[in-house]
Amino acid sequence: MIPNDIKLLDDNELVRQYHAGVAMAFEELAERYHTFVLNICFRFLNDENDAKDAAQDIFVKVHFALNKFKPEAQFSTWLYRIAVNHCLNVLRSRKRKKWLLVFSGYSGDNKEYIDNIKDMKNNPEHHFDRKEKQQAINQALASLNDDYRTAVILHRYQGLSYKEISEVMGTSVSSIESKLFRAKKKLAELLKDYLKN
Amino acid sequence: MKKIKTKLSAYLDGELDPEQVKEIELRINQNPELRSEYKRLKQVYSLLQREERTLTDPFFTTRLNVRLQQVRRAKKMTLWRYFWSRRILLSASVIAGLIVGMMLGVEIQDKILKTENPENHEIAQKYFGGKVLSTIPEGSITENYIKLSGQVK
Repeated sequence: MIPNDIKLLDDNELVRQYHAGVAMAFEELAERYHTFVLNICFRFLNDENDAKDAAQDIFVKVHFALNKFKPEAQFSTWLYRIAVNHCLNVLRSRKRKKWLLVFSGYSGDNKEYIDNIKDMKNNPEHHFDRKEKQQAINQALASLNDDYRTAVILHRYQGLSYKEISEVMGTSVSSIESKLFRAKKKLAELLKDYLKN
Repeated sequence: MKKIKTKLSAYLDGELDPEQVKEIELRINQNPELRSEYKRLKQVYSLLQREERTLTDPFFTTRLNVRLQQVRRAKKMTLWRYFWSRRILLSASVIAGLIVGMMLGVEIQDKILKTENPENHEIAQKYFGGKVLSTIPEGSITENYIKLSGQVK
C-alpha cells in the first residue's frame, strides 16, 4: 500500500489493514492521535516528560491490544479510554509511592523553567501572580475526584463533546452533564479567591 | 432549581439544543440568582482557559517504533529467560521421568511371569493374568515374592 493511500483511510479501516499485515497502518494511527493523547497525559500528569513517557506507554499498550479492539466500536473512543485509565493509574501510583506532588507546579521541565526565569526578570509581580494562580488551579483540579477531573480535562482542554466523554467514560450524557456541573461548582469554591465579585 | 443550574452548565458548554438555549436565556434574564451563578461558572472556565498549553512531539512515531522494537525484543528475551531460569527444574523433571519410566519397565517385565513349571501356571493365572513365558529370571522380584509366599513348586 502506498503511504498516501494510507492517509485516506478511516481509523477502523487502518486497524483492519494492520491486522492484514500492513505495519504502516499503526504508524498512521499513532501519527493521527499522538498529539491528542500527549495532551491528555499532560493535563492529568502536569509534567511534560511524564506526559511524553505516558503517551509512549499508551501507544505500546494499544499496539499489543489491537487484536482486542472490536471493529464496531470507534477507535478514538477506545484509545481515549485507554489513555485516561493509564493516566489515572500513573497518578494513583504516584500517590502510593509519594515520589512527586501531583499538580505542584514546576517539576523538571527545563523550557518551562527558563520561561519562568525570563518572566520573573521582566515582570516579577506578574510572574508571581501568574505562578500562584497556576498552582492554585492545578491544585484545585488535582483535588477533584477522578470522574470530575476526567470530565473537565476531556471537555475543557481536549474539546470533547458530552456524548464523546460519555462514551469514553462509559456512562450516560446526563451523568456527564451533572458531573461537569458539580466539578465547576467545586472549582468555583476552591478558586473563589481568584474570581471577580 | 438544581436541574436548571445543571442545564446552565451545559448551556455554558454549548451542549443544549436551540429550544433549551432560548429557555435558559429567558431564565437567566428573569432570575438574578441564576444570573450570578452563570457568571460564576463562566469565570471558573475562563480561569481554566488561561492555562491552556499544547504539547507537541515531532519525533513521537520514530521514538514509538524504537520503543516497540525494544518491547518485542524484551518479550522474546522474557520467554527465553523463563525457560533458562527453569533449566534446573527441567533437568530434574527429565531425570525423574527417566527413573520412573525405568522402574515401570522393570515392573512390567517382572509381571510377565516366566516359568516352565506347569504347576505354576495356576499361580500365574491367579496373580499375573496368565502371562506365562519361558523361565522366571533368577532373583527377579516376582520369583522372590512367589518363593517367599511359598507358592512356587
